[in-house]
Amino acid sequence: MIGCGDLPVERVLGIRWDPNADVFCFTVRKQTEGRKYTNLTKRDVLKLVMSLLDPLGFISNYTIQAKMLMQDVWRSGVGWNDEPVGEYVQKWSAWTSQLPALEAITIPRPYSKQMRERVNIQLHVFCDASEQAYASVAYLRVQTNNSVDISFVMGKARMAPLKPISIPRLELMAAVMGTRMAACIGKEHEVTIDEVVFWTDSRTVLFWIRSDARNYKQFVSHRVGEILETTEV
Amino acid sequence: MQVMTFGATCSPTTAQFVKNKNAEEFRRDYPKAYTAITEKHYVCDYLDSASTEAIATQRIRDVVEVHKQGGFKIRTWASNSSTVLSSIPKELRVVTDN
Repeated sequence: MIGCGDLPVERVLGIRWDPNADVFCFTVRKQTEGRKYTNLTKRDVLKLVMSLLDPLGFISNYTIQAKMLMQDVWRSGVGWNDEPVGEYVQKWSAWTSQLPALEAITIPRPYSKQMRERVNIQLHVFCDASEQAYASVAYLRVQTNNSVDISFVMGKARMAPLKPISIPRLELMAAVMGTRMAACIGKEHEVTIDEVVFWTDSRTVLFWIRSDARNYKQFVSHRVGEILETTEV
Repeated sequence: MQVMTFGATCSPTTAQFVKNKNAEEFRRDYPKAYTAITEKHYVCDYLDSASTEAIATQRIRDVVEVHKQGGFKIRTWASNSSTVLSSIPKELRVVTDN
């Protein structure tokens, strides 16, 4: 009989899983640990940003900051083998200084310990956008007769395109991303989700969804069409 | 062909096909293991969850058995349940540090 607490942290499909505590965790790559994060070229910066494997978006709020920086650097026209200068250096070191803190993050694997006594399961998807990026995140709400457990399922954050587009349109893109995420979660889970609730803070998007999609330009009508087709809103 | 060619363009497909084909042949005797092998395997990793330890233990036993019939040894098992883990032969378990 082997006791709990002596199992090594395993890599499961690239994600670190600690079977003893039953949590997911992160390890910052060794080769980057000893290296200085300063005097890096654009190529090195991208390499470090992309080395963080995070398919479920546990830390997308953090990685998106580096991607924003990457976009700024790109906009400034710095070459692949050139070192970014000026304000970028400061922003970059601010970002990398938080890297070691990732190792302290743990995400529980089970959604709920009371999964077997569930009476109702809801999926809540939140969508939001800003000038720089848009994101959506999904939480599972497991209700039993005397308790409610809320747990993180997945998140996704994307950069706004280089060409500026209006905030309502970005909010709409976030909403589309949210509906795709919900569809993906529903398909990949064996447990039946009784209800899916979508949240957005954009009244424009809500209005678009409620009105006749054909009245709008292709950009809006196609996205509204997809939302209406894949969800029951 | 007795040996898997390593690094050929078709190797991943061939490996997947053989893995699924083997499971297919034991589908009648091990239906649960068949679904586990065809749907819960990701290339060379197997990732599954079960509602009780008994179900997990049985499924692991079946999956190991089916793979064994095809000449495959599935190893480095890890579980958050020590009961489940202790049902797996020691040499197939994940290597502990101490």
